[in-house]
Amino acid sequence: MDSVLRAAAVYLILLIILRIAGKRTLAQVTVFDFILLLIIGEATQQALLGEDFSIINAAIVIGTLVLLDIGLSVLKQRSEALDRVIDDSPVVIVDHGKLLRDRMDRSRIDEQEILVAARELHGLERLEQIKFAVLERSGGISIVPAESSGKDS
Amino acid sequence: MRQPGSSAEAQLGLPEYRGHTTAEKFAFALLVVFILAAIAGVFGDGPLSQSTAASGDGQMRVEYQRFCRRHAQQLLDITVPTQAGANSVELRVNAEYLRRVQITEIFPQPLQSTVHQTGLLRFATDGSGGTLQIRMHLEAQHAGSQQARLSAGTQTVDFKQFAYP
Repeated sequence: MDSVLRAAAVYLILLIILRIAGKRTLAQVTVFDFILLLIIGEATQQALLGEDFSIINAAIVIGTLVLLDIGLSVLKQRSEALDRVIDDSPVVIVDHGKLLRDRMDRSRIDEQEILVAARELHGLERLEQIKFAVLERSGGISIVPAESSGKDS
Repeated sequence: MRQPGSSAEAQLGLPEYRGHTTAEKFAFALLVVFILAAIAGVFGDGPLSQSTAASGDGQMRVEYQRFCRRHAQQLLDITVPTQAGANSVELRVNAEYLRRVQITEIFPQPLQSTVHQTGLLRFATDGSGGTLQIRMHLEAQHAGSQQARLSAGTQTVDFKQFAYP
């Protein structure tokens, strides 16, 4: 029982912390972020297993985490409000070439990151060539090119 | 354009969509049952696992876990009757059980502990009679069933545990 409760508590804590950290934190992983993730993983492992390294305990912890994740995804599917609370919603950050600064600041995104996404995804060079840029729930930036972006010219 | 009567899967050369298979449903149900069993204590540390064994007249009692896990901490709460006027009480633990577990901590500290044919622990008492509460922290060293026999004076308590790997 203790293992199930520990796994549930850790799942909830990670859910809250990663939600607070925001979408961009995991989407753009720097070397430091990567190290931080490893440290988080190590700390989580300690909390999950304690001093019980038996196979049955590992099976209980994994089973609990998977079951909670399935349960939460079913609940999110049924409740849009819960879905928004847990996963947030996509945010438009460029509207017809115009940067929406307040939204960018809140999401900790700068202009360069949008231009990188525009170059990588569509080979666009300037903001005016972007119709919409959207910060997706996954943390990635998707770009809708302006019809007259002229990228082929 | 899609051929009439053919599915998208067929058009794309994919296997036919079958929804959740019986095997998937069974596996999911098994996972739910597994976690519920873990909460109940089938794999140690829960209401189904916690048990009490007592001597014939009920004076000596041992609270233990029926199910435990290898290399994980578990507790034995032992109640031993003491005699008025005696300043110590001896607790014996069978050799087979001692071979299968490692005692990591004992409270109160025994005055003396020896292991020969059986393990012998001698605890100080205040001589007023009544009972002495002993708490042992131990770890199972081997997976499988283990038989314990604890005795103090004429009182003997037998119990069985199962250690999961």
